[in-house]
Amino acid sequence: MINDRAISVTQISMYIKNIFDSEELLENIDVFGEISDFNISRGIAYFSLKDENALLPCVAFDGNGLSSVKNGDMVVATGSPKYYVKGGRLSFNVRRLTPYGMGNLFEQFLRLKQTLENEGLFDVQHKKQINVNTIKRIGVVSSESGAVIQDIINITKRRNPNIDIVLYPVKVQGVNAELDICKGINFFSNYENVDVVIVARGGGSLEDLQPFNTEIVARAVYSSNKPIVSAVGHETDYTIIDFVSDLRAPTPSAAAELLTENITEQKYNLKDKLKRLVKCINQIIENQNLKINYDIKKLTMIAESFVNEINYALSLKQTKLNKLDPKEIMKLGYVKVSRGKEVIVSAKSTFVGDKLDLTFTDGKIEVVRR
Amino acid sequence: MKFEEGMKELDEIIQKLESGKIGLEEGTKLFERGNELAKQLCQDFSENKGKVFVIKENLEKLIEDK
Repeated sequence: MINDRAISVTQISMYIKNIFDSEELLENIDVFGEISDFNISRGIAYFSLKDENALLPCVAFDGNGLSSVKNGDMVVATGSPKYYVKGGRLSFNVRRLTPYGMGNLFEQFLRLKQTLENEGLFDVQHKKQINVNTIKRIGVVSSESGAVIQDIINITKRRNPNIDIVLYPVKVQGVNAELDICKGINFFSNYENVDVVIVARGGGSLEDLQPFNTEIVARAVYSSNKPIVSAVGHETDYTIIDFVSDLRAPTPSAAAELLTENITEQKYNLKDKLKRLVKCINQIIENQNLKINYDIKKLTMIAESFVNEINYALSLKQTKLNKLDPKEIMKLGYVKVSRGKEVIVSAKSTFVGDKLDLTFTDGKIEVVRR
Repeated sequence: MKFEEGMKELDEIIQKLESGKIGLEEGTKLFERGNELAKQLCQDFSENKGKVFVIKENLEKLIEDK
């Protein structure tokens, strides 16, 4: 006999599932307890959280990040309860597992650091070279709001206004922040159009910086195809990402400075060089002019002295010539004797009755020889 | 040509010219080369070409922001 009020197993199971799925108070809750029955199968971690009165079955789909977890650990599991219809089983779906208590957080940091160091994730030979001169586009994995991205943009633009910045906005603290950060790193890793990636957040407590101390982020940085610059917290804050990144910047602003050439400064340098260049050529031209002036003076002096010498030589010759002038001799009482066109230089060549011309400086007379 | 290489060559030219040992002919040649270099280097300074992009809401699509 069929009861009209009866519902199917599927119906009741779906109903129960919906109760858990729609209950906001159960979304991303933190549950503390002791780990038991821990095992990893095909990358999925199965375990239970228990205290003295209760036990909560848990599943973590990213089991690879939990290899250091062991039974007996006191942890805080962050996640949501899910009801799995097929198996009829409630399971706490864990997204993050952190050691319980502040002291443990630091212990976990040290343990993870040691593990990754032993694996060689911090080795220098794995660090990618960053060539600041060739950077045209910088990827940034950080929060969209807040001072960090603004500082990076402002400093980059001030130093080199030609560089592009591509922001992949992520949560930088709280539940699942590490998954978000990994997504950003992986995105840029396969995105050809950036030269380098800054993973940044501002200062905060150890808990705030926790996403940057997670194994999953460390491994994403390690396997990135692009060089990664970590810029997390203040100068004194060291997180796991700082050890595995290719370059650690003490602050996000410092990261922007490290990755950009200060072309504003270089612009002044170039201007200065241009001024010096022009000054040099002017100096050379001026020197050349001075040299030309000097040469002209020298030539003039040589010419003048040459002319003087000639003049002196000429005046000497003039004096000599003057002494040979017949007129000058005639002044002493000598006359020129001629017969027609013939000049008479000997008494023997004259005969009685010859008509002779006597030429003086002031005139000529005719005489007859007797 | 890389910016640094250009700046280095320009420096060398200026040093030669400032030595005072260069005549007009060589000086003019060096000046012309320096001038050409400076022009090229200035091209690297064309301002404000850089842009800011944001990858929106996991669309993984590049969107110019500001």
